Amino acid sequence: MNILFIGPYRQIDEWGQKSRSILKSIQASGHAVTSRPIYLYSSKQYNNYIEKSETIIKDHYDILIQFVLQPFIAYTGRVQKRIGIFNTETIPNNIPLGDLTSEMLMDEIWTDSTIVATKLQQLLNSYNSNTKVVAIPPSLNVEDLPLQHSHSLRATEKKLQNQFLFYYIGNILDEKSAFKEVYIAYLNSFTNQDPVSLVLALETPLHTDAINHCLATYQKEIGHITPVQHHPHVHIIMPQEILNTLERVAIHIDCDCMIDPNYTLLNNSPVLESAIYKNTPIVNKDSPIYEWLGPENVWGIDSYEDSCTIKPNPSVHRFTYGESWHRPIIKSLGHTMKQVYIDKFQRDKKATANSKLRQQFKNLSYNNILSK
Amino acid sequence: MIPAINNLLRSVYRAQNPDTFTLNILTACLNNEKYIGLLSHTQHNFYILPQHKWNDLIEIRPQNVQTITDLAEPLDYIICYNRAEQYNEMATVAHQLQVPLILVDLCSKPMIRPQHILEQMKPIDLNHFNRSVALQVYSTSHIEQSWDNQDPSTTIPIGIDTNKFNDQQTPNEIYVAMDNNTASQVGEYIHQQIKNLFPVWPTDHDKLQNITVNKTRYFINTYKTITVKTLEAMAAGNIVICLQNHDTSNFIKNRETGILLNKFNELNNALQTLEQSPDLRKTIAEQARKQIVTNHSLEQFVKKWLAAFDMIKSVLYTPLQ
Repeated sequence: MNILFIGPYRQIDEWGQKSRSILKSIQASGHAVTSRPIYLYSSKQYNNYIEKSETIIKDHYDILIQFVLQPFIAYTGRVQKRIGIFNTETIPNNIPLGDLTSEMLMDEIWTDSTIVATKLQQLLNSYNSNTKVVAIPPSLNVEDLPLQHSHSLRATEKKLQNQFLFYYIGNILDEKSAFKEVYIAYLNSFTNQDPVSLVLALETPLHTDAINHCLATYQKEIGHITPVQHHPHVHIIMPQEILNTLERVAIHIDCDCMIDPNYTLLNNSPVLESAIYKNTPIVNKDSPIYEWLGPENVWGIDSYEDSCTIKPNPSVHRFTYGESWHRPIIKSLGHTMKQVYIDKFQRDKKATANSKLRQQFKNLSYNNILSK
Repeated sequence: MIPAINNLLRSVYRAQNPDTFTLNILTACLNNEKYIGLLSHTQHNFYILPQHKWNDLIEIRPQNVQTITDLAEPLDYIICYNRAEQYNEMATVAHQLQVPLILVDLCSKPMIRPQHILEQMKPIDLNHFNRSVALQVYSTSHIEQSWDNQDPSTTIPIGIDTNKFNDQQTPNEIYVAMDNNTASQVGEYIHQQIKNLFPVWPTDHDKLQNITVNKTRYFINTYKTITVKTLEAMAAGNIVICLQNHDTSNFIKNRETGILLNKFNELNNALQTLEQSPDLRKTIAEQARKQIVTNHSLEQFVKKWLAAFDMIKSVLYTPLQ
C-alpha cells in the first residue's frame, strides 16, 4: 500500500513529537510512506530537517492520514481510505452533528483511548455515519532519545542531593494539566522533614511572579493544616524557550517518579519517555497510557468522570459540556505518591518491566491497524 | 481561504507530474501589474488577493491572472516583490496557506523601499530586511550582490516585448512620457520643471490601444529605481531620464543609454540641450533599445522563470524567520 501522511512532525512541541512517533510506527509497517509537514501554530519552534519520506513519490496513494486539528482537514477523493488523527482529548457524550463534520469526512478516526473510541463510535453511529473509530497503541520515536545524558540535576543542585525526586512536566496554569492536584497532594503527603522534593519543569518560560502566585493560591486551598515553613521543597526548572528533548531526558534520568494525572485521554509523550528511562510514572487510571501499559509499568490513581469546563475556552466547539474528562482524586494521588516513595520493591519491579519498553517502541508498527 | 492541506496535497501531485504541471501561483499585486503581466507569459495560473486591486490602466489583466476565491485551485507558490512593504503580508498568507514564498527584488539594498523622487530615505537598519524565503529572484546581478543571501537564488532580468514597444514617433511632435502611477505632487513637480516646454503624457491612461512610450521622445522615471516602465520606454526608443543613484547608474550609462540627473531642477536644461543635439538623441535612443533587445528578451525571461519554478518544485513551506 502507498500511504500519504500529513502531520506537524517538524514542530518541536508535543504535537510534533507525537506526530514523529506516529509517522515512525506507520513507516515501520513496511508500506511506502510519503509525508508532508504542516505547521499548526505560527510559532517559530520547529526542526528544519527533511524526512526521508518527503522525497518518496508514488503515482497513486491508497491511504491518506491527516494528523491535524479538525478545522485543518481536507477531503480528497483520490485515495481509497482517509484516516484522521485529531488528538481527541475528551469523551464525546453529546456533540451536535455540525461539530462532527471533520470526523464524518474520514473513513477512520484514530484515538489514543478505547474509552474515547467507544463513545465517539456510538455518537457517529447515532448520526448514521460510516466512519470507523479505532484506538491505537501509544508510539514513541526513541531515535531522538539518547540512552545517557551528561547533565546531572542532582550534581548541580545541592538541595536535591540524596532526595527522592518526584517531577512534573507541563503547564502549571492549564487546569486540565492537573498541576493543582499534584501540588496539593504533594503538600499533604510530605513535609520538609522527608527527603523528598518536587521538581517542577515548565514547558515554556513563565514569569516568576505568575509561578509564585499560582503556588500561593493552591497552598491557600489546603488551609493551615501544615505551617508553610514545614512544606516540602519545590525546585523549578525554567526553559529558555521551550523545554527541549535533551532537557527532558536529563530530568527523566535524574529524577525518580514523573507525575502526570491530567484530565485528558491522550497519550502524553513525556510520560512514555519517562517510562523508557526506567522511571515509574504516576498516571490517571483511565488514561490511555494506563490502559495500554497497565499496572506492571506505571502507577495508577483513581479519577472520576466530570463534564468539561475550561476557562477561557479556546474553541466554542470543543471542551463543551457535551464532553467529559477524568479529574484525578487528590487523596488517591497523595496515597500513591507515598506508596511510590516507600515501596522500593514495586518501583524496581515496574522499572524492570519498563526496561523493555525502548525496544518495544522501536519495533512498534501500525501494520495490523492499517491492514484491517 | 483554501485549506492548507489542499496545498500540501497539491505538492504531492506536483512532484508526481513535474513536467506537465500548470502551476497555481498567488502573487502580490501592489503596483506590480507590469511584472505580473510578464509572468503571465509562462502560461501558469496566477492569482491575486481580493484586497489587491488590479489597475487595468497600467496593464490589461491577462486571462490567466484571476482574483483568488475560496473555490480557487490549491496553490503551489506565493510571490512578493518588496521586502519592506509586501513581505509581512505575503509571509502571513504563506503561513496560513503553507505555501513556499518567492521574493523578487527589483531594487538593491541601499535603495530598499522603492520611493518616488521626492521622498527622502529614512535612516533604517537595512539588515532588518534580510528575509528568508524558498527562492530569491533578483532582476540584476548588481541587486543580487547588494543583499546578504543564504537562500537559493537566481537572477532573471526583466523581459520586454520589443515588438510591442517600438519607436512610432512623429518627427515634429515632441512629447514627454511620465510614470504617473505615483504621488500627485511628483507630477506637479515635473510639470513645474518642464515649464510647458513639451506636453507631458501619462504612461497609464484609458486608451490602451495607444502605447504612450511608442509616441513620446522622452520618458521621465518618477521612481528612484529601474522599473518595468523604464525598460519599456527604452525599448520604444525614448530617452529615459532618471535621478542618479546606486541603482540607476548601474543600469543606465549617462549620455549613452539615458540621462542621469543629480537633481530634477536640471530637467529643463537637459531637455533643451538634447533638443539641440539630434545626433546625441539618436545615439542614446538606439543604444537604449539595443540594450533592451540584447539583454531583456521576453523569451529569456519566461525561460528563466520556468527554470526557477522547476528549481523549487520539491520545496515545501517552512515557517519564515
